[in-house]
Amino acid sequence: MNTKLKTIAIALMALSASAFVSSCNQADKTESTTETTAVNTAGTTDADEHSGEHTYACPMHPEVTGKEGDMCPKCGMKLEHNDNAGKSNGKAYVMNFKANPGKVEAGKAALLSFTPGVKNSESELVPLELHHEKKIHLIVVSKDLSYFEHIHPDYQASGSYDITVLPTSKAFTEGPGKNETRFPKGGEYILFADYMPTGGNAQLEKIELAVGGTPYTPETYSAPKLSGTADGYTLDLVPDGGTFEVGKLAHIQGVLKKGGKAMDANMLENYLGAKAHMVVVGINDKNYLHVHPEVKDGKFDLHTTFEKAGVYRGWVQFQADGKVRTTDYVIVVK
Amino acid sequence: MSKLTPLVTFLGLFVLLANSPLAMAHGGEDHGAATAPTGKAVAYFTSQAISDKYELVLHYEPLEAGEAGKLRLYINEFNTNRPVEGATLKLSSPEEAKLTIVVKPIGKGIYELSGTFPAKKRYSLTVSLNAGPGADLLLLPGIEVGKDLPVSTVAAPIVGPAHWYESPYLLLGGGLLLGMGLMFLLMRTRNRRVSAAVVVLFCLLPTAHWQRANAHGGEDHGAAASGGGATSSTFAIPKETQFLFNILTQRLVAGEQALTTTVAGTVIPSSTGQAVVQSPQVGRLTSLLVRVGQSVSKGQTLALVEQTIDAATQINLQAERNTLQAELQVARKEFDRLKTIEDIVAKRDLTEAEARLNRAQANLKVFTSIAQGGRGNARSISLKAPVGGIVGPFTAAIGATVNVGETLFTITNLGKIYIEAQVFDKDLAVLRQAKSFGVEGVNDAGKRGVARLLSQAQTVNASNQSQRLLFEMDNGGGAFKIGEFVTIRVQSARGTRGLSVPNAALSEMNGKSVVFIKDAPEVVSLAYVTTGADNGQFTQILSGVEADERVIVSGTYQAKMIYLNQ
Repeated sequence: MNTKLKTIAIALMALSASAFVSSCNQADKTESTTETTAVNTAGTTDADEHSGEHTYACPMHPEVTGKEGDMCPKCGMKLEHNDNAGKSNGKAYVMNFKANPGKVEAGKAALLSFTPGVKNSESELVPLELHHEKKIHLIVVSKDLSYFEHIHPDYQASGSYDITVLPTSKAFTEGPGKNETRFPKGGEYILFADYMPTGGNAQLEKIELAVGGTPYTPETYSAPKLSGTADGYTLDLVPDGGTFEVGKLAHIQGVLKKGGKAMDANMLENYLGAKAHMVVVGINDKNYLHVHPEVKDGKFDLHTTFEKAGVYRGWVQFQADGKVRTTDYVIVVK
Repeated sequence: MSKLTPLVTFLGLFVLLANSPLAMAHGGEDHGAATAPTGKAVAYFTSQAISDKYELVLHYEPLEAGEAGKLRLYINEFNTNRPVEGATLKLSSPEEAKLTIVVKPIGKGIYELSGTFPAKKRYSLTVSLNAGPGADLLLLPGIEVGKDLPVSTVAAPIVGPAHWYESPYLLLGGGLLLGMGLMFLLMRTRNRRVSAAVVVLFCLLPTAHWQRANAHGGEDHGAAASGGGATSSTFAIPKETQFLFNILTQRLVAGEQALTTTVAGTVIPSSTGQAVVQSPQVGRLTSLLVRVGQSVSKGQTLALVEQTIDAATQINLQAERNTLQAELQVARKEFDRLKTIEDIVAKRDLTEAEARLNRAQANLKVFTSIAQGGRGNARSISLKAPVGGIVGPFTAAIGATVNVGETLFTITNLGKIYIEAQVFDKDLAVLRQAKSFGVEGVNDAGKRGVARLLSQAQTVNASNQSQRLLFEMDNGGGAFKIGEFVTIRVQSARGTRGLSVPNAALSEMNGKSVVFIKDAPEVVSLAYVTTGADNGQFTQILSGVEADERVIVSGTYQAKMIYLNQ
């Protein structure tokens, strides 16, 4: 009897010891499984698609890649995590432009339609990604670069992004800078459509538009103008070293003043997700550059690289007191 | 054999016990709840697309190539998070031109998509959408066909142990040997108590495993998770839950907000708002014509008081009456006599006599009017309401004797009230350029009104240096009572620009103000904010949030609960 009891006791102890040891192992395992589950909660986000090195790219110039914290030499924007950067999805995008009526006349109503498409695949619909809160940023400049406008075509049920050209008599429905424009004078205009297809890279389409009617008198720019004023707000551009040089990363400080007194740029309201936007267009080659300044110590800090010498026109847009202000500049690069 | 049978049974039983129930206990509900913040979050794949108008979230269970599949599409407005109903949807796939997808609305902002994906690969869906906020074209990327949920794919390799020491059989065998060795050593010790203690201890050992699982999946673990969460402060709210709890957002834009300040006040009756009715005479209340709480109009008779006179006074009165009547008779006789001899009397005497008669008549008339009838010992006085209003509580009863100057009735008119407020210097600046004064009850914020400033203070309260201001307010329904404490919200005509959120968006966490910001379609983060002026509907945010962020303004409580329970 005693022996039997002892045997059972031995067996019992052995089993409990083994159960204890193995349970520790199982506990750890279950834990690790759940942790993996937690990571995968995100579904098909970036998290589970890659585990190696992250690529950081400029949101506007995807060809510019680098490490985290780097800055784009073209527009001064901070590089963002983007593993599709630098890779092409193999599609060639094109922005199809149509005006209705075909010949836009100054001071008369018209409709400008923009339809993004894929080359050699006419029927494919191209959804666009929001960048800076809009799907398409349309910059309208006159060929002499005296006229500037930044508007946003709105998607229509017809499948195109439209801009309504208002006749002289009609006022803007929701103020300027939305999805309406007007051509007070005829002449040659250039439209820059800045957009990014979903899954693709940032695209820029340069569209030339001849507007009928009395043409504007072309202006010529040669002397630098680095101070711009709009509605009492003055923004002065101060380049490091005082001049702009070709091929060199230019550090430009933007000093903001209101009514002659220095103003903290942080006090500005966000306009399209940034404190300010700068557009630079070359007088000769009509090349387009979109720069986003950062704010440092209450001043704007712009970084860009001019690849060619010549005269450039620049416009800075910022929002204060609920209104968008545009200041203009002439930049001479030597 | 008889020895061996129980041992084998026991062994078999224990092997069973060691393998299945242990795993179950560990993978139980407690643990699962603690680690997976959203419970069923991994039961489906997700794909999202956003534009400036819409936010699209697609949930779907694993799809098989060539088999009909169902996907659930949630559509809401980007800025407000409001579900979009009645949208016309056209779906196509750039990868497969022939793919047809049937759309069926199954709820507020929820659409069921059914279709058959032909191949095992990654699809995307182009959504052409038209609804209230306008037309839009979006792309839902990365729709996996023929892929299992991440959980199972990750869990699969763990089925086989990754290391030799993880093998359950090896550990089981090792444990057996260890136990036997221990028992062998134990048998050699003759101390029965020690052996019994060790046996019991070892029997309890397997339960230590349960213990450990509990501690791990329980509160401790949760606290650690939320502690980590507090630094990231981001948590998930599935779209379905957002729609269910009606979680709505608002995009923050800088705007003008008027400077406001609040002052405390007390309701007092207006100058014509309260009146008392007092007895002008000592008397007896003979009739009461109103009840407590009755509404009376100006001039309405409230009660009758009968004048009571004691015997001495009565004798005096009678004597006085007799004197007056005698005087009248004498005066009349004298006048009549002089009248008959008018020709020979001096004109002056006749006039005097006439005047005496008139005076005597007048005196008697006055006396009679006061002491009624002349003979009676009582006179009735009616008490009339001096203002219109409500009769306040009174204690007078019919038959009671009232004294001169005794207050019998109080009539209150709450149609117009005054509010007395004690204001300090710092608030006066806002008060001077005030645009409006909003009044609300301290105990019942539902009571609201708009007051006018009646008088500015001429003196300062010496004890606390406050100034007394008087406001007048219409109180039609009589909502505000005399003596009630109220808050007066002074809104300045001058405003400041800044970010402000509806008061419903603010909640408290550890005693600090927080708002919940929707970062992504199903991701919400918590932001501690410092608040500025509150104008009763909106509160200014001084720091903690940025313009263009989407703040949860409805369903804030639910969001907070989800955060706390994650």
